[in-house]
Amino acid sequence: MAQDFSQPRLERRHIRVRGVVQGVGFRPFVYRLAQTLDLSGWVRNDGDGVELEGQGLPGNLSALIARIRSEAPSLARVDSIHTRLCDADPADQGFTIRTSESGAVSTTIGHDSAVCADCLAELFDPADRRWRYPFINCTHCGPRYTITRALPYDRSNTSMATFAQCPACQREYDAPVHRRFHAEPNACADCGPQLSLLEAAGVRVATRDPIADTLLRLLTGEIVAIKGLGGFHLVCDARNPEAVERLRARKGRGGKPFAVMVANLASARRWARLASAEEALLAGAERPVVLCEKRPSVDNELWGLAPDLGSIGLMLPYTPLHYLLFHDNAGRPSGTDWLGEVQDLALVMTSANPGGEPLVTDNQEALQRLKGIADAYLMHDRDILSRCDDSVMVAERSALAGARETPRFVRRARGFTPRSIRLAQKGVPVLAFGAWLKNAVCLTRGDEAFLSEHIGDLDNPGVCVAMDQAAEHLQRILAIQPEAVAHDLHPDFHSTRAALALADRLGVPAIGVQHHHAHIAAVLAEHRRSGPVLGVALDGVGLGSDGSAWGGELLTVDGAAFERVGHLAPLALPGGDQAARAPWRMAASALHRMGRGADIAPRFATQRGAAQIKVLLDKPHLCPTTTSMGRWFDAAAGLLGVCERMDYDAEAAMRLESLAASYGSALRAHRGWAVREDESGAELDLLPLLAELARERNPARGAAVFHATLLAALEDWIVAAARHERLSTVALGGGCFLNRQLAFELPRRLSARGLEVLTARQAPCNDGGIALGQAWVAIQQLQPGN
Amino acid sequence: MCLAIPARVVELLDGDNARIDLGGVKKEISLALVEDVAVGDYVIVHVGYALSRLDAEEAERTLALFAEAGIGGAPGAGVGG
Ligand SMILES: [Zn+2]
Ligand SMILES: [Zn+2]
Repeated sequence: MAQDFSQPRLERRHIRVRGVVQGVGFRPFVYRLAQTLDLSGWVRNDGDGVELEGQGLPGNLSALIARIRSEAPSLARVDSIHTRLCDADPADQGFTIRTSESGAVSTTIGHDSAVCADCLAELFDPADRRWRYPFINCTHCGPRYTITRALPYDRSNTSMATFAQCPACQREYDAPVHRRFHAEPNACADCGPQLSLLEAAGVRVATRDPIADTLLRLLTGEIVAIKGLGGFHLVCDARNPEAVERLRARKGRGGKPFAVMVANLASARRWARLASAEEALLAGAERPVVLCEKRPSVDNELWGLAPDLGSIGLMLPYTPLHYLLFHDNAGRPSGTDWLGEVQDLALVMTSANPGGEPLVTDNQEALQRLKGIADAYLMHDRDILSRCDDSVMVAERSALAGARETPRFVRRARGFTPRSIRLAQKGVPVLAFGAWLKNAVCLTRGDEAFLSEHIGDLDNPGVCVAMDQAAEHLQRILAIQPEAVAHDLHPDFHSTRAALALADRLGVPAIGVQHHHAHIAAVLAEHRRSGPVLGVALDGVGLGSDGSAWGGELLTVDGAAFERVGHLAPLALPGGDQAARAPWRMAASALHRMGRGADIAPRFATQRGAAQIKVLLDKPHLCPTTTSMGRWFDAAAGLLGVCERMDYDAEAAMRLESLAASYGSALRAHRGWAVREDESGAELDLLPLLAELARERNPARGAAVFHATLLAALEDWIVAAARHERLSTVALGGGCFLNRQLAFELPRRLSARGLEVLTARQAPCNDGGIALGQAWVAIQQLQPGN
Repeated sequence: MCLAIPARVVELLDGDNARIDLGGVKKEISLALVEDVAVGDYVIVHVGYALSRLDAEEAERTLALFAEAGIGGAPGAGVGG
């Protein structure tokens, strides 16, 4: 092409941007940059992300590329930018936003995000047309994943499809420079979703102001089911102990702690001592529940919320609807200044899933399944298409000077789903089904792993159906058919059966992955490693490759292979799972191993069957054994009288941890453990420690001694094994690493001994992350040459 | 299910497997960890494996013992985590 030398030299580049770049205001962002930089050309979404052509001075094109990376919208994530020169077109004038290629496939649907500051400013501006409209949002905030049925991420594929935009909204949606340009859930009070308040019987309350009415009900002690982003919450006044107790009883929840929503950080500081990392997490756009160190005021003023625990789960509002409840309670001030001030209102927000069933998402379903639990329902007419629970996180203080405070997941769900975790290598698409408790499934595509939302414990049919739906939903929104499936070794898990059935139907390989191998592999996956490492799995229980119950293991892990090189000393498990729910039985088991079986009946005289447990333990062939770390925690809690029966999973360990923290530092027990070599590796025996705890009269001191000794014992055992195996990296995984002392102090000690330590950060360390590890093992096993 | 309680073997299957009856619920388990199991024997079942073999008399005594110890009842699902 002839060059026109009378004009400055024009360059034209085709630019391809990949990552989370759709549905986040990316095209208007590029449009504005192009205007600023005096570039012509166009931008559009397509199946691969965003593509654009820019034409102008070469320096301005370079600036465009640099600024696309550095100034991308808050919800976007730019993974890569590729550019190539193309022929300039001197006639090209202006920059345009083109509509998506028809049939275009969004590479990823965005995650749900808390209402942004700009929208909040409008929400509380009495002059704004969206003043107090509960469904305000823009391209920088609001629902995504939970309202999307299928790809591409277009309004027609969301539950907003039934709401035709009014002219004012449509103008915003169509204007490239507007913050609501192609904000798919865009709406206002004239055209968008509406609230309704229903009585327990399902009759609509004749109220002009459902929010004010809801607040009044909450303040008078009622339990209201409120429809949120990914499901219903059961809500009550956290300062009303009678209401809290009633909610606990109606939900059949036992002593399990509740999360509390407060208006802002200033209010959160009243209830918890917050580190800066915790404040950042609380106020982040993902808005997880954050487990924080509770102040004494919690036990005095929020009575019964987190009994006998040192922490409290706090959360800030994330939908406009939540904000409006606080706004109403504050007297409906104009502007946003009130958001910086302490607000009294504190609301228990617990997922509406009665008795371990899946989260309730549908209006009609809510009326049926929450009957007898909710006194009223605050609903709306926008459907929830993907169920998604609240995420739960911990941000720990750093014991290492200068070390960064890093958050960890207890549960990965809303705000994070469906963000991918990047793997070290590409592989065939694998669908991994997880295990049993706190389950999530995982689908891989290339080198990305998509962990589903938290699904729950697969012990009722409803949750099993929810798991099947989550697996199907992932396949649909990623447009991927798996070429292999991965599952736990346990033959009786619904997840295992579902995996085998799918493998059979698709004619693809099914790969069984040992539970603790998967725990370690999950840590390796997110650190983009494959090994060899020494894996330290400290967990509740998983089926070992020898058919026994494991849960305190040292494994050498190298790619798809692992070897067990150590384990905790086995404890008898009288009655199998039933022992796992009654720490006094594990204490009895420990006493029996000490040769003090005669002490069991008098010591646990209040427990039914205390005498018979000794008879059972006398016959080892009637009792399976376990090497589970969780059961050693239970035994310690049982011996100290901290917790004899559990209301919820890991209750004994959580109470023991809280009690230890209340005591402060303690010396470890003298000769509290022994390491022996047997045919299956180095066995760590903590029986001497338990013998000391059996004599301890101060439970708090006992709990502190237990932790101090356990840490020293683990350090000893792990460092020796790493030397023996000539490995310099250890990966820590398993549910026991939710214990703050283990999670924090063990890595510190191991790195002080010269080991590189890898821990779970992007996925939960418990069974919520296990599908990621299964997928990673399967990918490596399926590599050519394996 | 991870209930470590006695279950009656009702059928021997291929490959070291057997079908058991546990309070009316039939399921397939592995016999890989025990020897000389016959139909009519009782086995202690844990996570899909038979851990040990009991004769009928011992099984009866054991079931009574479990009941007294407050263990047993309907076969439930296992704890996986
Ligand atoms: Zn916004
Ligand atoms: Zn409108």
